[in-house]
Amino acid sequence: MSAFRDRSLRRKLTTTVMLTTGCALLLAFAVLTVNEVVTARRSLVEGAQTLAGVVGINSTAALMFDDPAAAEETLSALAADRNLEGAALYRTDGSLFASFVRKEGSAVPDRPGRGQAFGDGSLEVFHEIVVQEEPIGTLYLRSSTRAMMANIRIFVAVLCVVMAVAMTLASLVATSLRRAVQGPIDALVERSEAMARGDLGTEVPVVSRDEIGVLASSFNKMGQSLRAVVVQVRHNIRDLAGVGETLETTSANVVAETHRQGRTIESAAESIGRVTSSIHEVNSGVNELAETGRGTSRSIAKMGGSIARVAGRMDELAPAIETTSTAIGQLTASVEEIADNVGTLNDATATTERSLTELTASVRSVRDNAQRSHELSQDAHHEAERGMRSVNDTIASMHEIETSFKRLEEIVTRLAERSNEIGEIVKVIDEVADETQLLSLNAAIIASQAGEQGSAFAVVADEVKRLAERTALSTREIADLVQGMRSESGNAVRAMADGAETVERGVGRSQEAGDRLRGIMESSSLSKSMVDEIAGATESQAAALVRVEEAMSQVRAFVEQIHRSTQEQSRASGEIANMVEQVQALGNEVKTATVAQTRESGQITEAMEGVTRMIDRISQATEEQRRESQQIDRALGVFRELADESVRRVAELKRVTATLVERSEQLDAEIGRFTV
Amino acid sequence: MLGASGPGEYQVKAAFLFNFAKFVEWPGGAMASGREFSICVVGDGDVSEELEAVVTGRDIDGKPVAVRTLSDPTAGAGCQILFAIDDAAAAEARDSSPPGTLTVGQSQGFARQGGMINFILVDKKVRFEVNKRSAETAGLSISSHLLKLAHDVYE
Repeated sequence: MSAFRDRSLRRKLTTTVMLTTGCALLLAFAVLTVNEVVTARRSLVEGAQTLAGVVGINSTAALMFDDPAAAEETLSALAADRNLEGAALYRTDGSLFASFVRKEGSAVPDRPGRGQAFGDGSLEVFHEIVVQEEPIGTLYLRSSTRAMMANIRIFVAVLCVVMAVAMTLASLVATSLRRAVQGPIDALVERSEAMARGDLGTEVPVVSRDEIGVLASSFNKMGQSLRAVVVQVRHNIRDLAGVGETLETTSANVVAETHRQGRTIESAAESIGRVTSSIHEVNSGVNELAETGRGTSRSIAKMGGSIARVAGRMDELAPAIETTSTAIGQLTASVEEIADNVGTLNDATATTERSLTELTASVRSVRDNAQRSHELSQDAHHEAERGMRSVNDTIASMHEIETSFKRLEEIVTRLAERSNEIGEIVKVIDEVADETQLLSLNAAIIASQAGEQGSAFAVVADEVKRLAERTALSTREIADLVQGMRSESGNAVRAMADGAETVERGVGRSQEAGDRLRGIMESSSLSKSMVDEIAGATESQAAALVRVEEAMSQVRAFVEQIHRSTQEQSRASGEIANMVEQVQALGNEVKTATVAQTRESGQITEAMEGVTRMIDRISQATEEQRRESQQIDRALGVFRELADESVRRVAELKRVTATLVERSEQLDAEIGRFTV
Repeated sequence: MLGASGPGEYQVKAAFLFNFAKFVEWPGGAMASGREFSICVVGDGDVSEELEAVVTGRDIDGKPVAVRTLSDPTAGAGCQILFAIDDAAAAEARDSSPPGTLTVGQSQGFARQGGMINFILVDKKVRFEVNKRSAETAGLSISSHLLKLAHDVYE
């Protein structure tokens, strides 16, 4: 296929036309030939069958009346047909009835077959002879196919001639086609070769509207586009040359700038180094200060603990402490960055010292008051002890009264019991008296009955009677007495019970009094111990204050040192402007805060803790500064690397630019070859 | 009478008698009368068996074939073929057969004397003579194929 593709258009056209024509003709000829053969065979068969029918009818009678001679006569009439080679008649039992052969030596089959078949150069047909649907025999015909074959050969020969003529005509058509196509294509080829040489000026004439014409006009359009492109490219090359020059200048500038940048970075690094060392100095100072501050803070913390205890008793201290914590908060907030403005801190320190003096005075007065409180508490304690003792005595007496009451009650109770016994006895006596009275009455009656003798007895009886009456009278009186005694003793018992109750209440009251006195005593001893604690605390406060004062002077010394260091640092770190500004702002804050402190602080604690935190902040700040200066140092290292990289890149750029300029010049030369 | 030939002779003649019917056209009236195609045998001789054997199950022009034995040729009305076996019967058939009947004999000179078809033996084979004129007179038409096979044709 690729071989065909590479051939010239002319050969392609010719080959295509010839192939198409040849294929069409071959196909048509093959179909025609086959059709011819089939038709010839069919007509041969039909002829043979017709002949067999005729011969069969003519042979019917001969067969029916068993006359082979007549049959052979009929068959011999077939000699008129030149194609007929032989014929035969067979009876229904298959035996040969009559035959005819054209040539000597050729034979007919001994037995009949069926249908027809093309054999070796001949057609054999067996035809069954039927009379009134009754088969009476079979006819055999053998017809030569030579004539048919000769006809076919002639037909094929004619076809070959036709094909040759057709191919010649096709070749002529292909040639004329080639001429129609080749001319414009040659013109196009010529133009494109001129274009390849660089001549873009002329155009191909468009003579037709077919594909070749469209190709030519497209070619012309392409030429126009190419001309526009060449003009544009020339223009661009000029621009490019300008760009290259600008690029060279710029890269030289960049190199110079980068070098300058490197130098700047170096000096910046030196400054940073100086800043770092200064920061180190400040940091060590600050650390020392922090140490001192921490010592001070510890003292102050200790003192703060005492003050807190005092504050629990002394309400006036509480708001001051609150104020202190507020002030501490403010100071804490204010002393975030202490820089070159530590002078204000000196004032703060001085204020602190004044406050210390005031505090010392207040502590002393507290101590005196505590002393007075101590004495008063002791007096109260003593009084309470005395009271306690009295109460205890009272309670003891009460207990004794109670005991006496109980004894008395027992006696009265026993007395009541005895009076009851007496009552019983009196009752007996009364009964006896009643009996006696009755007896005396009886005796008087008897005496009266006895008359004279009995008169003495009657006197006795009368005496007895009076005795009994007197006895009864006495016993009633006794009974009344006993009754009165009993009620009296019951009253006594009740009264005694009341008394005992009263005594018990008295005892309870006394015990309450004792308890209260004990509470007073405990309170007074507690207050005494508290006052003692206060005294001790104020003592230690005073001692601590002395230490605080010492520490304060040290603080002032350190503050001055910081002042100097920060001034030095300020000078060194002029380049880190924002940091300094921050510190200045913070200094202002400190100033404001210190003013506030002056106004607010009556106490040392706030200032001292503020100083401590401030120092910590300074320490953090200097630490931060150190880290920042390290970061700046690292950043400078990165800058340096970047500057080196920039120099390398610029060198590369320079090289590329040179190449670009060179290429654009080459391109310009190439484009110059085109004529537009 | 030509004398008895081999055992096959009557069989051949019986077949020929039957086959004649296919080459002869009877006039319309003769053929239309009757529902059967009658082959009548007259004379002294027994050919009926062979005839029966030949015609059984076959028909001519759609009519079944019947074999009748007649004592007298004059009684041959309705017969399409009248076969006179002996000379006497042949003479009677020749003279007084009804019209439209094909008369067949096997006597010397039967055809020449007015019979229509006469069996003869040639080289020991059964052949026949045809009297075309007699047949035409009787209104029968004999096919040229048959005439062509005839040993002698009397015009």
